Amino acid sequence: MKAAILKKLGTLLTIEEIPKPQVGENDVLMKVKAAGICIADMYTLRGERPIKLPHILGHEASGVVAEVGSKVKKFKTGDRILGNAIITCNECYYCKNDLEQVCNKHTIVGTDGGTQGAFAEYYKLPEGNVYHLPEEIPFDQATVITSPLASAYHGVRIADIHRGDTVVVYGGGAIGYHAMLGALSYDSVRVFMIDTVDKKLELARKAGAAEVMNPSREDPVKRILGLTEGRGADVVIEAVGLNQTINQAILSVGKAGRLVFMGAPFGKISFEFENYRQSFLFKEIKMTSSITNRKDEMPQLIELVRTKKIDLSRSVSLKLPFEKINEGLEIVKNDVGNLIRVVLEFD
Amino acid sequence: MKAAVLKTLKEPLVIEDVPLPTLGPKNVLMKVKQCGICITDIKMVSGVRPTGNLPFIIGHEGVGIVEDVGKEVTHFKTGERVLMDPLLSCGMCLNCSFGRDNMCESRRLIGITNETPGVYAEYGVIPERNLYKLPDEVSFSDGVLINSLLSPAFHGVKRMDFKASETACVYGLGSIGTMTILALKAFGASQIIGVDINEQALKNAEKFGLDYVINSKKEDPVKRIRELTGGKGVDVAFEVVGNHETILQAIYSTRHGGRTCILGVPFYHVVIDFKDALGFFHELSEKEASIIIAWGYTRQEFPMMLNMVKKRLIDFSPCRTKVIPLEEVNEGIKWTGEGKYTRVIIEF
Ligand SMILES: [Zn+2]
Ligand SMILES: [Zn+2]
Ligand SMILES: [Zn+2]
Ligand SMILES: [Zn+2]
Repeated sequence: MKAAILKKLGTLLTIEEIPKPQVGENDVLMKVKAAGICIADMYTLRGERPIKLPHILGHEASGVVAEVGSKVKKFKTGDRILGNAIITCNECYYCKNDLEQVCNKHTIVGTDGGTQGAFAEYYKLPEGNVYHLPEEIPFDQATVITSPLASAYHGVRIADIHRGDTVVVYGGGAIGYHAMLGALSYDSVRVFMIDTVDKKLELARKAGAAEVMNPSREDPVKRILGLTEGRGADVVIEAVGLNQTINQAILSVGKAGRLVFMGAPFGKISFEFENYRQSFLFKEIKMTSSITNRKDEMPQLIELVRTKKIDLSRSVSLKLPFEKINEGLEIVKNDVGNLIRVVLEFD
Repeated sequence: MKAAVLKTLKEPLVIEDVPLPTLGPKNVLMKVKQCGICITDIKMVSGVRPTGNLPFIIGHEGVGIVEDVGKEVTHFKTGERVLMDPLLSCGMCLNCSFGRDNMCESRRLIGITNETPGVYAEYGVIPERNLYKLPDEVSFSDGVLINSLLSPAFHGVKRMDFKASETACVYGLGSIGTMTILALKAFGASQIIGVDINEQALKNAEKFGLDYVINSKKEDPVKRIRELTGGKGVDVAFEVVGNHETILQAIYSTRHGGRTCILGVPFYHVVIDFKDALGFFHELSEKEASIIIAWGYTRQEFPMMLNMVKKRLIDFSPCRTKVIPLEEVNEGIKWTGEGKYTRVIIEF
C-alpha cells in the first residue's frame, strides 16, 4: 500500500509502497477514504511530541472495512466506518472508574510513537474504536467527527448547557468552532463567538452565531454584559488557551455559570481580577477543563451529524488528493486562510 | 428590651434598653435564646466591613422561641422553638428562581445590612420565610452552630456533589474547616485529610475524626496527600482559607477528574497564579479537573441540615462552644477574634 512516511524531522513526508498492516483478531482494517490534518500533527512535525522515526502520522480517518479479525463481530468487509484513534488501557484506576478520558496510559493511533497512522491507504484500529458511518455523512465530514468535533463535544457536555442558555465561545478555530456547533445542537441556545480573525467570525456567523466579536476592536466582556442585561453568560467555552482569554472568559461568565477550558495553555496562567470577590467568588461558578473525548459520546455525536442537528457542511475548508499531503501540511502549518479543516482524499 | 448596640466604630458595644421592634404582618417576634458571635460581627465593630448608619444592633446567628406572630403568619405559633436564616432573598429574581438565593440580586442580611437590625437583643423580628422549626432533639447551641458555621460547609460539600466512599482533603482547619469535616463524614467520606499550619488547630481538628493531619509548614502537603492516596490525589479538595498558596495546593492535591471547592472568603486581594509555565496545563487541562466555588448557603439546605443533626448524622460534640451572658458580649468578641472556640455564643 501507499503511505506517507515521516523519516526525519524537518523534512517532507515521502510517499512509498509498504506492506499493509497485519490484522489482529480484534482489529478492523480500514481502507482509508479521507483523513484530516490536525494541529496535533504539527506538534509532532515540529518535534514537540516525542516520536520514533520513521513514522506514519494521521489519526482522523474514515473509510470502508477492508478486512476484519477473527473475533470482530460488529463489522464486515465493505461497511462504511470512521475511527476514533484514542485507545484507553481499560486497566488503570481511571478506566475502571468511568473516567476513560483521563486514562493514564492511553495511546493515540497515528500520533504516539510505535503506532501506525492514517496517512496511508490502510489504517488499522481495534474494533472498539471503530463506528458505523451512516450513508448520510460523507467521508470528508466523517473525519471531522473523529477528532475536532469529538473533543469539542466532550467539552460541550461538560459545560452542562440548558435550553435558553447564552453560550460564549472564545476562539473560532477547529475546537471553538465545533464547540459552537455542539452548543447549537441544544434548543434555543444563543452563541457569541469571539476571535481576532474576521474570517473566522464570518464563518461562525454563517454557521449560526448570534453575535460575533473581535477583541482587537471592542471589549468582549463589556459587550457580553450588555447583551445579557449585565448578568454575563450562562456558559463560557475557552478554546484559545492564552492568559488573557482565560481571564476574559472568567469575567464573561455570570452568576452560577459554567466555564470550560478547552485551550491547552503552554504559557503561564494567572487568574487576576480587579475585584476577586465580585468577579470570581460571589459568582459561585464552576470551572472545568476538558480533554480528549469518551467512547460513549461517539454514537450520539454521529447521530447528531446524521440528522444535521450538527451541520458539518462548512467544516472541511479544503480537500486535497492524498498525493498532495506535503502541500496540505504546509497550509495547516502556516495557517493559510484560517481554515477549519484540511482533509486528504484517497481515490 | 435589652440589646448590645454598636454606637461608635472600634468602641465596645453598649448594653442598653431599646424599644421592642414592631411586628409586621408576615413577621415573627422571636424571643432570642442564643446568638453566635461571628467574625463578620468583629469586622463590623472594627469598621473593616461597612455598617452604614449607627447606632445599629448586629447579630445574625440567632435561635429562640416564637413570642408572637404577625396577622398573616401561617406556619408558626407562640412557643415554638425556631432557628433563623439571616439571608433575606427576594424569591423572585433569576437566581432565586432557580434555587440559588445565596446570589439573590437584592440580597440583604439581618444584623448586617443596615435597615435590618440583628439579634444581639432579647427580641428579634424575623420574616416568617426566614425561620425554621428547631426540633426538640436539637439544642439551641447546635442551632447556632447550624446557622453560623455548618451552613457554608454543608453548602460546599453538597455543591461538590460529594459521593459516599470518596476521599477528601481540607485545607484550613478553623471553624468552617472543622464543620466541613463533619459534613464530609455525614456524606460518607472514606478518607479525610486535614491540612493547616497551626499545631493547635491540627490537634483540635483530630477530634473531629480526621484520618490524617498534615502540618504544611513542616512537609509538602501535596506530596503527602498523593502518598496517602496511592499516588493519585484525593477525589475532592476543600480550600477553606482563601489564600493563593492553599488554593493552588488544593488543586494540586486532586486526582485526574478531581474537584476543588473554593470555600475560603478572603478579605484581601487574591491572585491565582499557576506559577510555572505548565502549571495550569498539568494540574487543570491534563487532569480534566474542576474548580467549583461555594459561597454561603441556600434556603433549601436548612431543613436538610436540621434533619441530619437531629438524626445525629452530623454530631457537634467535638465542637468547643463558650456560652456567655449578654453582659460579656465585648469579651466574647475578643475571644472570637482569638479563635480558641468553635463558637462563642451569647445566651439570654
Ligand atoms: Zn486531531
Ligand atoms: Zn486507563
Ligand atoms: Zn456569621
Ligand atoms: Zn432574589
